[in-house]
Formats: sequence, structure tokens, C-alpha cells
Amino acid sequence: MFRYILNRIVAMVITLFIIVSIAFMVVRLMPGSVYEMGGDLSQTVIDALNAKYHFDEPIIKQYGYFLQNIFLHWDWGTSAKMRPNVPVFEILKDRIPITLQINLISLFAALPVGMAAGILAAIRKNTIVDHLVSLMVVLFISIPSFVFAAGLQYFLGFKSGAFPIIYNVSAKGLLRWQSMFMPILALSFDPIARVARYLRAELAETMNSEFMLLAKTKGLTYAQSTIRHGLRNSMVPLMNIIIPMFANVLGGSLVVESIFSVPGMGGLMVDSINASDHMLTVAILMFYSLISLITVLIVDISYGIVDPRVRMGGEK
Amino acid sequence: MVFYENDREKYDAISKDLFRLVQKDEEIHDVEFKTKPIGFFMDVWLRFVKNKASVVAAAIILIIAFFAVFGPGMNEYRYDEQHTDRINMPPKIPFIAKLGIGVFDGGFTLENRKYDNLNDTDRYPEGSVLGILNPRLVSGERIVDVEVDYYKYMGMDDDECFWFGSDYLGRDIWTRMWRGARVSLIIAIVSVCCNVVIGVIYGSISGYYGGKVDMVMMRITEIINAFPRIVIVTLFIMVAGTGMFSIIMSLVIKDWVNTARMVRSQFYRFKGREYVLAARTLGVKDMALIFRHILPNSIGPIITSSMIAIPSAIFAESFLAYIGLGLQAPEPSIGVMLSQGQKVLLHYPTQVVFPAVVISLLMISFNLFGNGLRDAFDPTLRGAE
Amino acid sequence: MRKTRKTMLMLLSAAMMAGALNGCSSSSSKPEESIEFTEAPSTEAPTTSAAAGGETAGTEDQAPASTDPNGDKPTDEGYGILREASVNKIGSLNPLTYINSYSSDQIKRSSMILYTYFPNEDYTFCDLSGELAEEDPIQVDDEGKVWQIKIRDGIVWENGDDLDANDVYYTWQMILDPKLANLRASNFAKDVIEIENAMNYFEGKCGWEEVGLKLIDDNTVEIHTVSGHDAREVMTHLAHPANCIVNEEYYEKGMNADRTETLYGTSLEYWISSGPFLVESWTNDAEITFKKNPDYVFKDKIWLAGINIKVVEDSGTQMQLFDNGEIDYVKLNAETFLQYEEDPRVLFSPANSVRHITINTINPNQPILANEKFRQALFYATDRETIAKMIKEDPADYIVPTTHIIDLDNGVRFRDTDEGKANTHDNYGYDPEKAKQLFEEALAEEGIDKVSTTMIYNDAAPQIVMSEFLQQSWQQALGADKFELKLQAMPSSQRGDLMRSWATKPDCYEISWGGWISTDLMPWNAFKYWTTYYSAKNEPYLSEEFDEVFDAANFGEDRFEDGVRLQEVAQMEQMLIEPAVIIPVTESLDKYLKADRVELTMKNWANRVEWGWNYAKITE
Repeated sequence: MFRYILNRIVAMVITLFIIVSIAFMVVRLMPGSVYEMGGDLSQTVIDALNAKYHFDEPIIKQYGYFLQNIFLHWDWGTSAKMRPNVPVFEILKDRIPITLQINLISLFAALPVGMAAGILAAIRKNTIVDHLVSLMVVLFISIPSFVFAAGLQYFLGFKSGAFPIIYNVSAKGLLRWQSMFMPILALSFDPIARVARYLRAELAETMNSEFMLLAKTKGLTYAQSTIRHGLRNSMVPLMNIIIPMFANVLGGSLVVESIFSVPGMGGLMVDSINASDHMLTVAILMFYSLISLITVLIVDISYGIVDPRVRMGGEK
Repeated sequence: MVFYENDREKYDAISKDLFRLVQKDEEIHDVEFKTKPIGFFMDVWLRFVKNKASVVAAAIILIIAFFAVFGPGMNEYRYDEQHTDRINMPPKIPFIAKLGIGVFDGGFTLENRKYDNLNDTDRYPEGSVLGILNPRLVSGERIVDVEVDYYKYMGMDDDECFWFGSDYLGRDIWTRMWRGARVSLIIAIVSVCCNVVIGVIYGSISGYYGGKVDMVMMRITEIINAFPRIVIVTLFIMVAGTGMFSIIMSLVIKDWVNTARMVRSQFYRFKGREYVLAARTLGVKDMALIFRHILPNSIGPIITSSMIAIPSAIFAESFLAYIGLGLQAPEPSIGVMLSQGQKVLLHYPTQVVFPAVVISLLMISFNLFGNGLRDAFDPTLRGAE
Repeated sequence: MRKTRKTMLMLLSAAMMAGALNGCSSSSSKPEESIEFTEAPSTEAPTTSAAAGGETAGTEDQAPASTDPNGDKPTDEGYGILREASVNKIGSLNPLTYINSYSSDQIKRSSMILYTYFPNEDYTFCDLSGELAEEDPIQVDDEGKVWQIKIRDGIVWENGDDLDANDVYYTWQMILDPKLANLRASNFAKDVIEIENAMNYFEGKCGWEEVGLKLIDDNTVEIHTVSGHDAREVMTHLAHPANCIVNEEYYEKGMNADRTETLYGTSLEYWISSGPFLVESWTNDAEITFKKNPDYVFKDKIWLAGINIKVVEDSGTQMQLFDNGEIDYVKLNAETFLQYEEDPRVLFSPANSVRHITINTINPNQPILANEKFRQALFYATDRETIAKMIKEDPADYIVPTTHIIDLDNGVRFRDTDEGKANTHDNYGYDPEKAKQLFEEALAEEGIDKVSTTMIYNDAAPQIVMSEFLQQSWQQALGADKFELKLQAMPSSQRGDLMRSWATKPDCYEISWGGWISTDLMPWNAFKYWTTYYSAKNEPYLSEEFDEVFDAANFGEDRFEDGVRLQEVAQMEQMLIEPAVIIPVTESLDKYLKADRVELTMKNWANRVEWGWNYAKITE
């Protein structure tokens, strides 16, 4: 197991390197140049800037400078357009905490609710409770998030005035929490629905196994056997969807963040690609990849830990 | 206690006369089945129709598919026909309007109008004003919200109507929506089919062989997964231009990875099972092991996930439309209409409601349909109720 | 607002009940009798004062003191916070590297600049005069090539340090520094005026001593230009936001070891204000708060205590914030405007830009684009009035926007002159029959029977509508069997880059959109985008004849003579419109909705200062 993890970490570093390299090439291949600003710049200045940041040299050479800066100075470059001259990771550092806060809270709020709903539906299978949960799941999953977010904003924020219409960056304490409520709520619908649906399906499947029959024969009630034995077994595949959810919290939601004016990670990627802010785009891509690689690693390792029958990396 | 001994000769020595038949009225053999034998798919079908929700879902999908094919031809408008003097019309369906229940009657609230203009028949033709709301003074001006029959307000004939209203160029939303549904469904189904084929093959090989093969193959998926859709689709548009092909490709390139991962994890779960070991001991070939013995275990998850992937693909397409990388205008798609409608959500909610309802219905139906299919295909649930 | 709506609803329902009861007896009671108009609390300010809103700083305020919390003169602290919402983000407050005009507006709010545009005495027009400079530049030589500028005494930074000629000189050194290679060094390239050797120094071709920017003493700087100018041209150049003064201490504090980049203006830590307002707090990409600068030289013109700007990207959210009374004005898009058409609170802000179609005449795949008759056919096939009605802008078959002033002294707009009117067409140049005829002729000349061409456009709102409309209407006008227009959407930055690559890739685009925002007080300068030497040209229009007229209007000896520039501007416009080098479609028009708690001191929209939000009052 230890060897396997070590192998995987080495592989992860190599993968990350390949990703960053390809990302570097790809963002430069994309149409649109950094200093395209509706033409109010003089060509002399554009040439000077291109020379300063080596944009006028062949890609391979640019890549060389890029690697050199990283390995010699751990310098990932500065943003060119979104926030000129600011080191790229500074920009990420400003954005991540807000996204992280809102998404984590919403996820921690959503998980118990989703699991409770899933368990309830499985225990009361084919009753009105089950159908209600299914209906909720289906509604949460199938209604586009901007409809939900805009609806929340309109009714809870604008019409009733119970909560501020937008996220309030400068407020402190209670006011700030109050303004975070609606984005958190809007973000929690999806995880609630997904966890509930998945857990119900998994539990329903586990119910058919022999050990459940045994549990019932022992004299446990349906609910007891479900929670004590069924749930534990269903947790394995559930981790599979929960761990990626935690990875996604760093991504932020484009729609929800833009509707509630949360200055988070959501729109950063699209904005920086559209602005041709190359260095920032590479940094964001590399950051996201790192998160997703770590997530995959954790998921894979967790297979082996929670279910010893599965030998990860084992050959046929 | 010994019932009989293992000495055959001792029993052979017993004379046959000592035995007699208890009854010999008729000859007995196995009763022939009265019903016809049913095959696997028949069985799947029988179990599927038992699940009421899935049947309803399937019916809804069929209805939407029906409208996607025939809906655009149901009224006199073409999908790209512009009526620039009839933009942003509210929905009106004549026979529902006659019921007077307040929907589909072409009613609309004009906000912030000058009260003094209400009697101006050039602006408000006879009978167009239905009610007056919120009278107030704004900067000393008498301002009201006016409920109007928008069709009369625009001076249109009674028989002229847009069933679901019209958009920013006066195009009929009914026609565009169903045409859009057609395009979206094609995009979604084609891309999901490709995803499943690629994902299953890739995931099976990776999961079955494990070891180094798996290591390399999974790293490749990680690299692919690292690039956001917007990057991939921009590159494709650069190479192949906008249009369905680029969108489908950008959906395929990223999304098969999820299928592959899921199939792979199923392989890890099952390849160590005893029955696989038994089969291998019996000399079953790798390909047969993969596709006959292990893969069927994952059919359930594959079906459910690909059924959910169809509406997700429609959503993904609408995300691309949202950031301006959608289909070539004036071709509509559900995504294009959603992203357009979202911009006017507060003022013309109907422009987003109809496509949103269609996509939600598709999502719900494919979900339920997928559940039903999974249960029907799952061999372990056979006979279990 | 919300509460009043509720009470209003109750009132209304009560009134309707009463009306309904009465209605039984009198068959057709006019609705007027049953409706009671109540004043919303947020509009408490007497409407008369809003109408006569233009009290200047000096004149007496007629409104009784009890209703005007501002008093007669602005106090040092000011009164009331103006709350704005913006879709744009301030990338940087560094005047030498800022990205968009929105950032430059914020930079000007909190920085000093030599010259800038103020509202004039009676708040009806703009007035270009010194902010940091004490007076207009003083001509030193006879040709108008050397100018001295006196700096005001007693100007200080936020921290109390003196702001004098040394700071101006430092700013100039920094903006042209070859190692820093600042984006806004562009401002010193040849435009209205050209500073001696400025670009040579920037390119490293000469030393700083040779640059025509000199420090004379603590209160005087001097500039040397290549050709002769008048004071106004020099001031115009120096009023560009790139000339906002930077603070040496903070600029150096943010500098990296190689002196190639500085963090100046990227966060509050590296920023110091000096202008009309001081930056009080700033959360990047989210919110910025200004407060009135009590040391500002023209503090008597500033009534506000501060300005708060939130980044709100979603236009629907902005509307809700406005309706809820959380922001004081909001920009209306075409769809939203439909619901406010008759609202008295709407302010129209003519933007100084004409949206036009640009054509790549040298595309080897589409030789017909080089055909003048074909382009004219497109010109006449464009139904500008219908487009303008849909996107709620003004139709335009001309290039110089309405707001452009040809005669500054008398405030005469070019479009109001006879020469300007001569360049317009009947029916805004929409003539489908003529278009059809020209199109047929073009086809015959080219010897083809069908045209299929592609238009690229932005995924943003007005261009989608305009492009999709033209796709259909051009086809109808020119014949669907002979003309086809394909559409391809792309993000604006990519489209701009693609268009401007025509010099190296002639087949990069066929038809696209353009629109230049230019100096509205110098329409002759606004034609630079079509000269052969302009670096970021949208379309391959290369005409020496045009260059000559442009040079005459901008640098010619007789340019200050009466009527000469007017003729030349009209001639340049005609040279572009007649062969349909570009096809103007509409003139952009911004619409704002203003809350009643804000009282504008500007009596009308004016060039440069626009509605003068900085000079507004809060009456609440």
C-alpha cells in the first residue's frame, strides 16, 4: 500500500508537470492577444510589452523562460490584464477564501440533510416519504441553478427583504453571515439532491444482500438493520461522490457567484481566458488540476482502505 | 445408524418379484410449459413496465421527442422568421385565453407608465388596458403600472398569436423551442453515445489490466480532465468553426472520462471476486472475462449515469451558449434559449420558463427512465419485488 | 420602497373596493377618480428643487435650509454617500497600467492630474482647466513648441506630503521608462501632440535628457513638442488619465528588484490618493469606498461625503438593488429600458461612438468585398431605423457621432452644421431598391451569381440582435437566392484580435463590427483610426488621400482658421461613407435610471463630464 501511494504521488507530480506544460502551450494557441484593448494602444508599446514578456519569441523559448522562472525563483509570473502586475497566486489567494467559505458551509449543511433524506427514503421505500424525497431530488437536480438562484434572490431578497440581495463583502459579523445565506442555500440544492439520490439507490441495493437478511433474522428492525449495517456498506461508494464534491468547492459556481455578486473563483477562469491573461490562466489551470489530482488519489486510496477486498493498482 | 450398506451385490441379490408398482394408470412425465419461454429482453420489458414512474417518464420523453420532430411545423411561423414590430410578445393561446384564467391570454404588465398617457388611444388602443396598479408619484410625475392585453396594445389582429410568445427579434418561441429541443437532443444523445462507447472500452481495459497500464491510462484521463470545457471548445471552434460538430466534440472529449472512471472502479470491485477467479481458472480469455463476466455488473450504473448524462449534456451546451460559444445563429437550441432568456428573466420570465420547463422535464424523465431501466436490467433483482 | 409598495397596494385595493361599490351605480366611472397618487418617501425632496436642480457651488441655494441637509456650501466632510454598482472591475489604480476606461474614471476620482474637464460655471457644458496646474500652459517660444506649466501651491497627498513639480516629473519618468514598458506609454506616441523623443527614449534609442519633458523648478515643468500647437491641444493631451500623478514613495515601495514591474495601485497597501476623493477601503474585484478629500483644491465643488461602488455583474441583480433603494443609479439595457420608457427618472447619456460594420476588402476568398457597389448595396440595404428601435438606440448613417463638438467656443456640434447634414441620407440611408440594383450591378461586374459571406460578431447583447436582424433583412433586400450571410459569434477580445490581423492574414475575416470611442471635442482627431499609419486598424483601408486630409486637419498650418476643420472633417466622413468603407448603423445611447435622493448639479448631459456624478448632491 505504501509503495502504491508513493508511486501515485510520483506519478501525480509528473502528470501535473505535463498538464502545466500542455496548458502553457494551449493558452498561447488560443486566439486573442494579451494587449488587445480596442486598439487604443500604440504599436510601439505593444511591441515593447511583447518583448518584455517574451511573447514575441517562439513558444518553445517562452516555455523555457517559464520553467526557468519556476524552478529558479518559484515565480509563476504576474497577471497581465485582470490585475496588472499582481503575482498570479496573490489573485487566487484573494479569491479562494470567499469561495471556500461559502461552498464549504453549504456542503457541510447539505451533506447531513442529503443523507438524512436518502436514508429516510430508503427506510420508507415506496411510501409517500420516499416519493416526496424523490420529487425533491428531481426538482433540485433538474431545475437550472440560475433559475433557483434568481428565484431565491427575487423572493427572499427583493420581495420579502429577509436577506440582503447581494453578498456583502465589507460587512462584519451577523450582517455578513446574513448576506451569505442565500448563496449558501442556492449552492446546497445540488449536493443535497445528489447525496440523497445516491444514498437511496445504494441502500436499496444493499438491502437485497444476504447479510441484511441475516441482520433481520437476528431480530433487528428494518430501520435498525438499515442504519447499522446497510449504511456502513453504502458509505464506500458514497465517498466516491462526496470527495469530488469537496474538490469542487474550490471551483466556485459561475452562475451563483455572478448572481449574488460573490467575488469568488467562479468567473475567474472564464474571465482570464477571455482576457487572454496567459499567466493567470495557466496558474488557475494548474491549481484546479492539482486539486482534482489529489482528489482522485484520495478516492483511489480510500477504496483500498474502506474495502480491503479491493486491491488498487493490483494487476489482473 | 446405517440405512444402507455400500455393498451393491447384496442389493442385487434381492429378487425383483418382491417389488410392485403402486399405481400404473398413466405415464408420468414433466408437464409442458403452458406459457412461452421468455428471453432476457422480454423479461427486462416486463419488469420495466411494472415500474409506473419509469413508464410515465418514457411517455414524457416520447412526447417531447414527438414535439421536437413535429412541433416546429405546427404553426405558421418558421424558426428564423423575424417580426421586428412584434418583439417580446407574451404567450397567447386563443382557446386558453377564452377561458379567462389569466394565463396564455397575452396579458402583460407595462411598468412605470405615465398616467396621463392612458387616455391616448394611439398609445393604448381601445380595450387594451385591463387594469392599473401601483399609482405613485415619481419626480412629480403620476406613474402607474398598466396591465394590458399586449396583443391589442400592439394593435394586432385577434387571430394572430404567438403560442409561447416571441423573443427579442419577434421570433416565435414555440417553433424555436421545439426546434431547439431537437438540436439539443441530437447533441446530447450523440455525445452521450460516444462517451459511453469510449468510456466503457477505456475503463474496462484500464480497470481489468490494472498495474502499469492502469497507471498510464488514468494519468491520461487526468490530463484531459484538467482542461476546462471552455478551453477545449475554443480550440475546436478555432479548428472546425462553430456548430454542432465542435460542441459535440467538446462534450465528448471531456465527458467520457467520467464513464471510464466509473467503469474502472466497477472493475476493481469485481475483478477479484471468486467467480472471476473461477472463470479464469477454467481458461476463459481476457476479452470474454471483461465483456461477459465483469462488464455486465456495471450495466446498471452505466445506464443510470448515461441517462442522467443526456440532460447534463444539454445543460453543458447551455453553459457554452451562456459564455457565447453556442451554435451558429439563428439555429436555436435549448441552451441558447436559456442563456438568452436568463438575461430578461425579470421582465419577460416566459422566455426562460418554457425552455426551462422542457429541460427540467427531460432531466426528470431521463432520471426516472434510467432508474427503471437499471432495475429492469439488473440480473440480481430478477424476481425480487 | 418595498413598504410603500405594500401600503400602496392596500390603498389601491381599498380604493378599488370603493370604486367597485360605487361602480354599481355609475356605469362608467373614470379610473382617475378611484386612484390616489401618493408620494413615495424616497422622493421626499420637493420636486421643484429637482427641476431647478442646477445650483452651482457659489450661488445661493433657494431651497429652505430645513429640507436641504447640504446647506449653502459643501462642508469639508460633504454630505451623503453616492452608491454605485458596476459590472466592471478595477484591475489596477495605477494610472500608468490601467486596463479599461472604468478604472481610469476611478483613478481620476482619487488622483490629481495637470488638466481635466470640469463642469463650467453654470453647469451646462464642460470646461478644460487646470487641476494640479495653476493656469493654462504658457507658450515660451514663438512656434508653440515649448510650453511651461505652473503647478499649484499647497497641494498635498493624502498623508500630508507636498505634491509639486517633482512628482509630475517623476510620473513622466516612470511612464516612459523602457524597463517598466508601461501600457499607457501609448499616450506619448504621436496623437494630438507629440513630445520630443518620448518614444525614442521608450524604445531605448536615446537618453532621458533628450526627452522634451523638463523640470524647471519645484513649481514649474516644461514640455517640448515636435510641431507647433495651441494651449488647448497641449491641455487636451495632458488631460488623458494616463497623466494622473503617481507617488514616488509608494511607487518605489511596490517596485520589484529588477525594476520591471511595480505593485503600485494594486491594493490599498500600495496606493495613496490625492484627488477629489480618497480611497477609504478597497476589496479587490468587489467593492471600493471613496470619501471626500478635505484638502482637495476644488473641495467647494464636491457635495458628496463619499462614493461606494460595488461590483455587481448581473444586470437583473443591479435592477433589484436599485428598486430596493440600495444603489442610486443604474444603467438600463435595451430590454429593461422597455419597462422604463416613460419613467421621468431616466437619464439619456449619448455615448460618443457609432456602431458600424467593417468590411475586409482584401480578403482573397471574397473578392466581391472589394467591390464598391457591393458595399454600397449593403449600406443601402441596412434598415437602421428598425434596428435602432429594437436596441433602443439612435439610427446613424454617419460616422461622426452627434455629441462631437466642432466649434468648442460656441459649443456647435458637427451634426448640426450644414456640412454635417450634407453627409446624411434620406430615411437614414435605407433604400432597398437602390441596394438591390447596386447588388445586381456588383454581381455583374464580378461575374458571379451568388454571394455567401460570413459576419463575425460579439456574444454581447446589441450585436447579437443587430447581426441576426441583418442576416435576415439583407437577405430579403438583396434576394435570398443570391445573397447569404452566415453568422459566427466569438468573445470580443478574440474577435478584435482576429480582425486586426488582416495585415498578416488577409483572409482572417470577411465582415465584422466596429466602433471607436474617441475624443468628442476633437472630431478631426477621431478619424485617426482610418489613417494608413494607425497601428490597430480594423479594416484594410489604406488611402493616402485620406491621410492628407487628416494631417491637414490635425497638424496643418491653417487648421485654426475659421471653418477649415469643419470642411476637412466633413470631407473625411464623406470619403469613408461614399465608397462604404465602413457601414454605420446606430449611435450608441446609454440610459440610466437615477434615484430621487440624488440631485444632479449638472443641468444637462455634457461632453466629458457627462452627468457629473462626482458633483451630485444627496438630498435626504
